[in-house]
Amino acid sequence: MDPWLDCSTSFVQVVAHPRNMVLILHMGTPKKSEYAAFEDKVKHTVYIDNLSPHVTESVLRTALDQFGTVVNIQFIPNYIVPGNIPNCALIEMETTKQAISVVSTLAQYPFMMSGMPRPVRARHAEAEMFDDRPIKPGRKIQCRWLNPDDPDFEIAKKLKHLCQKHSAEAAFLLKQQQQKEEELAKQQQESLKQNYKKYEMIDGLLADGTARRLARSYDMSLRDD
Amino acid sequence: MVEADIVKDPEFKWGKKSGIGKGGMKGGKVIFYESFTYDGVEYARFDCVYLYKEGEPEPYIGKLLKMWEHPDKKKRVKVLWFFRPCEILNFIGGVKPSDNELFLASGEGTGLCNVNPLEAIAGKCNVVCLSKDDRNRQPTCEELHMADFVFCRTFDVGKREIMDKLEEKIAETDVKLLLNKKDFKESSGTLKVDSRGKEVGENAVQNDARVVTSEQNISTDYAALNTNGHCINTSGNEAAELLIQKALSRSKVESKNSEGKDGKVIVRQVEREGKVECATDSVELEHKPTKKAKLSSESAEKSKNSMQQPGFNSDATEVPTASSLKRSTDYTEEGPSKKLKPSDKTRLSNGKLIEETSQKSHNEDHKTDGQELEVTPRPQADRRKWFTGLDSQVAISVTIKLRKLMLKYEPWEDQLRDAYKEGTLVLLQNLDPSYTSAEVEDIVWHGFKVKCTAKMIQQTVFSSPHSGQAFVILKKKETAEMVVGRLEESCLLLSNGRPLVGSFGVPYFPEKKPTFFGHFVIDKLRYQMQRQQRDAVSTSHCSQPNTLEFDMAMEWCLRQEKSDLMWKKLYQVSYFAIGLEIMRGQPFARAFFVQKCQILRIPTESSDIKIHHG
Repeated sequence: MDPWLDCSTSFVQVVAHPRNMVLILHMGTPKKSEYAAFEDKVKHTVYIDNLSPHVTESVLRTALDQFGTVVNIQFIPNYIVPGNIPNCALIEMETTKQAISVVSTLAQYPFMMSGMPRPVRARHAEAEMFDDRPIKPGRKIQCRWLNPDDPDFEIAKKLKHLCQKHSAEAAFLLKQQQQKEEELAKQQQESLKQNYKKYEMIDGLLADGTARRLARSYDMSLRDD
Repeated sequence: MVEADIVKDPEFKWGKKSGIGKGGMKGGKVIFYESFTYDGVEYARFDCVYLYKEGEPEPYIGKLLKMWEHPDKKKRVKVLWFFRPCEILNFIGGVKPSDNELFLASGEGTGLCNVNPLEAIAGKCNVVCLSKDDRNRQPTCEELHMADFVFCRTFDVGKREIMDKLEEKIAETDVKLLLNKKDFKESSGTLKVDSRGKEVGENAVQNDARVVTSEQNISTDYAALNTNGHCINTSGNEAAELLIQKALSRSKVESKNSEGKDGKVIVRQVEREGKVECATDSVELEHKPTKKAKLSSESAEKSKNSMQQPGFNSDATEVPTASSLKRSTDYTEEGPSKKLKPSDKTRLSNGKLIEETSQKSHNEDHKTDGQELEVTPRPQADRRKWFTGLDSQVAISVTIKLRKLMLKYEPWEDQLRDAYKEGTLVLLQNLDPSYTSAEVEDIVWHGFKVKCTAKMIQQTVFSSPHSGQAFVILKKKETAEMVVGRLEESCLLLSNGRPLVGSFGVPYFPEKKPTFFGHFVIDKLRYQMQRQQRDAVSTSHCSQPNTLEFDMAMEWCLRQEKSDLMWKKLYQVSYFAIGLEIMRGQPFARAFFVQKCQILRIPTESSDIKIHHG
């Protein structure tokens, strides 16, 4: 899904312009085995979001222990999005199978963490979600400063602008989403109050004998047979 | 008691007794000594040593204050610590430490000194005091060449400041004793394990051809470094000396040349048994558990054995002795040593000579714009490991009690907060999301020649799959301004032609009492709820369809689904927009792009795309 990768075939040719001296140096050889182990870990791991701030590590652990053994829990801190966004966490399970079962179960049923009506959501973790990921072996990063008279300079400028625009759009969308969530929460709070009132009324009627009297006069039985 | 030791372990021997302490719990007396000999190397009081700690790629460095033996044969040393500049970065302020400078701990507080098992000592370290203080005997040229590290200032662990003046006493010890020893021979004469570079080379020929090549590389590299070192060190130190400390191992390659011309490279192995402790080396993985097991399970006596003999003789057979001769050669093995010219006396303003040789050529080749550089780890890239190691220190089962490093490592959140306050925080965007924090630091190093602490922002569901973001903390406000300014005016192209975008970072921190939509409280129930809260912990469950909460949950699911679609659409559109922009500049990419659009079912013809929110 990365346009950079796809469209770069032609772009890179420009980057490697003949007048640019290309210098190739070797990265310190990152360990392949280390990365393989990390990839394995990613497969074991489930990403869960829509978590209430009340959900702590122990809550998560107890909640997910029913699917297998929770090896490690790491909350992803948010420093970039303003306002309250639900927490999210990476949960490393013991096996890939357990991770898959967590994701599929939570996709099928709304799963409520510590009784919140807003269900949590699970998906498979991705390498980029990890804080401590090792460097991908064999990758070489190149960078260069563009001369202002370079024909690519304008394009690069536009791309920078675009990138900023996109992050602004994403921020806007996130705000929208939060607003919608807030609306829904309000609405639910209202209906919950109503429902609660009803229950209370029923409770009251049962308690003060009104229900019994009514039942008698209509000749009905109050027991649910 | 001394004799008993000899019988058990012929390689360990206490030296002169210096005193007898108070009786221990079980009777017996604690006996203090002036020195001990360990594998043919004499360690006296006030010698400097490396101390190895599990999980740390770099050994700690400390000064032996006292050494003693308990009645139960436990050997202990009291160690006064040295700090590497990188360990106290947050407190270092404007002080610019030289390449191999250490700071002696002083003042009062954690991190000053503590007692460790003698077995934690990994080898001798030669630290020379450069202080102009009257009490300090000025080091000779020869001493300087021999030095692994130098120090002239102290770090007050209580005030957390660098102190220029030496106090009368540090850790209740007369400071005179902590400076250069009066007798030069004593301090340097114990380094018996030196071997000439050539000899090592020969050994390597016999054992491992690969090592030979790296050996040669090293010689050339360091010959080159020497000249550079000359330029630098003359400022701080008349007798230009250059030390290349291979930080990750105990073997040191010491370039011993003050002229900087006919580089005579001496490869010294401080420790013959030298454990292969290259943090980046898989060898370490083999070895670590061995040592750990030994230290934890066996008696002190035996664990000493394991230090003296090659630690990996039993299990980790994969470690060939030959390669352990020269371990951190990884860097230079494939390194462009040919490209290094001994004459490049170019800017090495903040180029640490330590441990990263290939860097030099970068400095050299980075004068003009428009050059393409491959991003390689900047100097001291491995310090990062040191940092993270500290971070997760709690998790490491500590078999050796070592220095408590509460001093230095601030949580990332606090670092962000401080950096934001000081205006040194920069947000980088448009990175490849798969870059790691270390790689971002490398990019900043290559693009701007400044060091920084960077952290990629972890991707979540909302993050753009096209643009990775990272917070970068720079040392100074001016640097941050320079970085942002240059990124704004000019364009730094990364791999795949991504221009890097930078702005001043504004971090957000979670509020103390975060609100969470979907967390309901029924007022009248509150009292009841409180009582039940303890049980609520375990009430994570799958909702059943016949409940009220199920309906609510369904509403939330619907909401989530809608948001997901929105995000997907947004990123699809931005993907398209990026592609379009690239395509405009590169008409010949069009065919390729059209094809890609078809796969994604995006209309290719509508050239002006507007995004409708919501």
